Amino acid sequence: MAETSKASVGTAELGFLLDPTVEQLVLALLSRIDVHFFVEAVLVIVIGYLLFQKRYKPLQGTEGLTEGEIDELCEQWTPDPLVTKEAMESVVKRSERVVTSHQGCRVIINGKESINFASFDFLNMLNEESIKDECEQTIRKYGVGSCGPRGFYGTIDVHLDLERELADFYGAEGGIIYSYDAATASSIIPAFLKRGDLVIRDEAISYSLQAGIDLSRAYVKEFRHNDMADLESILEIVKQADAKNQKPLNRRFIVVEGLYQNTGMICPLQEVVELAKQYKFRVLLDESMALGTLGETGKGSLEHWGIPASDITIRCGSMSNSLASIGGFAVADGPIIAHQRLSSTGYVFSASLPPFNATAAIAALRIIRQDKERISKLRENSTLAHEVLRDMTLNLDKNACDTLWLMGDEISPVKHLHLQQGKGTRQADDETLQKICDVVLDEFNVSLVVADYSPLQKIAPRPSIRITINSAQTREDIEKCAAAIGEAARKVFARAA
Amino acid sequence: MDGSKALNYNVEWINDRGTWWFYLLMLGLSRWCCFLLGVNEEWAWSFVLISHSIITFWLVHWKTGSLLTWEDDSGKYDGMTYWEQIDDGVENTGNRKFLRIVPLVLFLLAYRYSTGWLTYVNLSFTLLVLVPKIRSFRQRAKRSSGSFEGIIKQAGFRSTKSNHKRGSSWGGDKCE
Repeated sequence: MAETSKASVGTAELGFLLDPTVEQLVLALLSRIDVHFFVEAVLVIVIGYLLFQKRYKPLQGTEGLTEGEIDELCEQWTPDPLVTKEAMESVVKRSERVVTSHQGCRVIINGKESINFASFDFLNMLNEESIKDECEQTIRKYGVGSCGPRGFYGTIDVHLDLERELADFYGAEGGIIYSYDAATASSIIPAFLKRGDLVIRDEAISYSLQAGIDLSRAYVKEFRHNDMADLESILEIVKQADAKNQKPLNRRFIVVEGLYQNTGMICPLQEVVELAKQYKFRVLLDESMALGTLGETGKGSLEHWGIPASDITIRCGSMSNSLASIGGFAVADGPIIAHQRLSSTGYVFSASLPPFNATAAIAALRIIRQDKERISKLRENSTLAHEVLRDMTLNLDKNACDTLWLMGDEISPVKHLHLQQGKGTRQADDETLQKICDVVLDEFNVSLVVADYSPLQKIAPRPSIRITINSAQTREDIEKCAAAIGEAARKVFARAA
Repeated sequence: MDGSKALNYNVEWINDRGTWWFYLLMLGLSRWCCFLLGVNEEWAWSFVLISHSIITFWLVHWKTGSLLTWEDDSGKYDGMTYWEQIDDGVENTGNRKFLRIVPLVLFLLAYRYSTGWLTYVNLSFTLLVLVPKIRSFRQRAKRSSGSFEGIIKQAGFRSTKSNHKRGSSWGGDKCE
């Protein structure tokens, strides 16, 4: 090898002498250096550099620390409090109110009767004697609890009856019931969606759905509340990204509520379904509020919009609102229900619904089917409430420090009253609204609530007074409620100014 | 099971005692095979280098995700090469230094015996495994190519790990 390089030295220099260009000069100079040695030297230097570079070594346990240092670290360490001061301060103190009657249209709170605008029992099922009688029979037969998960002798005939009834009521292939409504959506979503899947959700969905999406670890993005243009723009981005996708397609869902508990607005489901079809997404619909309140016969959003059941992949909901029982449910195609029976944590790992709750739900479903009066009365009351509350907010003194504004659909039995301006912080707004509620209860005997949101909720709606309408309320009740809120608001705003 | 806090068993074996020795032994063994097969001296180390580069490139820089333990981590490491997974992506660990130095030493050995075009072949095969080891080379390549995940993340999609701000257009709270 050395010989070869020596031989080339001669040729390169000769080349320069024969043809004195820069090129030939460089070649001649290069030939003077032993390239081989040079390259090897550079490589050794590089290796040396890599070898002696500052090495990062993750500290494992107490390795490399002396006893004294360990003691010192232990002494310096102060544990964070489990509940931080900020967390304590962010919780608004609510005055304790004890109910000593059933939660009907009238309710006894702290020993005083008031008109109830705070219960989700829209169709006044709690006061139904026939339901109580049937529940009593079930308790005599099965006892109060079921004391076993569905997979281990917790399945009782009434559970299966209720599942059939729900599927039948909704016109779906199958139904499944959960023992706890807040765990329903948060179990269903992780059962179907995994890391890498896509969820596009309305920003106003309830906490249970939010928790489900978070638990699934899917990619998630919110669209502005009921804003179909925003939804479409997000879907368009996904479509564009798909062009670059080399992996198999992931599972994709649009998550909406039929009637939003947090805003009282109805979801434009027809457009959602159309977009979902166009962009090949599935739809998960929460019917917690819509059951018994939307549609001519109370069958929820699909009836309201005239959409076939096949367009929605999963419908889930709570049985503690219109059905005045406990627990959650889902209706869908057979395989989707069957999958949940082994893969949905809330179903698999909790003791099944107390049998009498199932009986109550069956009875309530039957009443919804038979008694169309209640639903039309509820619709009537909701519309009336919307009118009087809107008039009330318009008649508030514009020069006062603040006014109220009404949010919610006309036919929705859930209405929200927000502060027009607010004081800038969530807590201050919440306190102002709470004062209004207190005055309304103490002076006018009308019970209202300020909607409460957990600090766990990443996107929380603005503070509001939530008004829920009941089919048993009379015209006078609703007018009285609106007038009471108007009076109380005037007082509170005057006091604040 | 998510295993977000758990060890990445997919690459954890690299920290086992003897992995480095086994690796070096395999290289030595392939050199010995060349000797047994009667490959001439000029070619032997080049042969080891080229086969090492091809295997390493495919296994460490080409394949993504978890090849061994995919059912345990539900796709957490999808889209990450072995190189990125090693030591949770921390730079300059012993493992990373070792894996960078080995190809260089191989090139040095091959360079001693090779001449002419074979040197250039060796050089390109060495660069094949060294260039992807440049810090954040892979991430940069990914970003510029605009993968599906890159695009949707840029559009604001997030998974649970990342925090996001409160507030929204329909009157979300103003305080935070």
